[in-house]
Amino acid sequence: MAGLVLALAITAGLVLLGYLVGSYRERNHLADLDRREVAAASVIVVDVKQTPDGITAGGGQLVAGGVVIAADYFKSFLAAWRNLIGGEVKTYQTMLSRARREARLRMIEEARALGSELVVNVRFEWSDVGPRTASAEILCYGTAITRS
Amino acid sequence: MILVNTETVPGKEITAFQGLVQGNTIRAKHLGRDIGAALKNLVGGELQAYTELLSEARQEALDRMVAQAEGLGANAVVNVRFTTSSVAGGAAELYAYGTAVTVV
Repeated sequence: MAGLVLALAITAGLVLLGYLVGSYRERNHLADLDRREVAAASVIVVDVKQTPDGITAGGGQLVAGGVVIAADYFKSFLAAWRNLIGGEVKTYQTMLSRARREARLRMIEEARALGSELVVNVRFEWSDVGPRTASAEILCYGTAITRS
Repeated sequence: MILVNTETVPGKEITAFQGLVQGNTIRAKHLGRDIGAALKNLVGGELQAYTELLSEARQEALDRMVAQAEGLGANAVVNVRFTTSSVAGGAAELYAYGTAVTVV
């Protein structure tokens, strides 16, 4: 009985820790993404292969950005409950969207370092080098167009 | 060596095709990293060790692909794709492939 109470107390503590620290870190990350996306807005990112009309391309260069983001205990806990009753797993949805935004931004930052203002043929790939625990692992890549 | 994931090199013309080139690397996840990740899974956030592992693996696969293209006398690789696969529990492959060409 005492063992069960202890186990419940530990789980509750981890869920609370995950919720407090995890959502604080998520808020910070989202604010950081918002800031950097404003700065990155000058770069046009498209997933078509053609360079848009009116832009004379002088060359192209592969650019990529990747990130691995872990879920916190609170997210994993809610997702485990969600598995029982079904439906949308919102906590993981925000984690995946953060990872895609981060990977896309890192790719854009690489393009800007090359002096490019346009990235075409952008692809998102789910990579699988990471841990076995719940995490989002995204590779974003495309061709940065440089002007002649 | 010019690398692009479009079918042509923007602003340049392809004069010869040398064929498919590829590079891959398989990375094992060592236990220490998994333990670190398990701790990070309590509070969430970026797993920097894995982000680095991912970008090292990407670079390694690209380098091997480029070496193959150089061996064929190409000066560019077009239509580059990345793909991943899980070979076995604890090991993951990153695979890059594309078409080696000569551009002017």
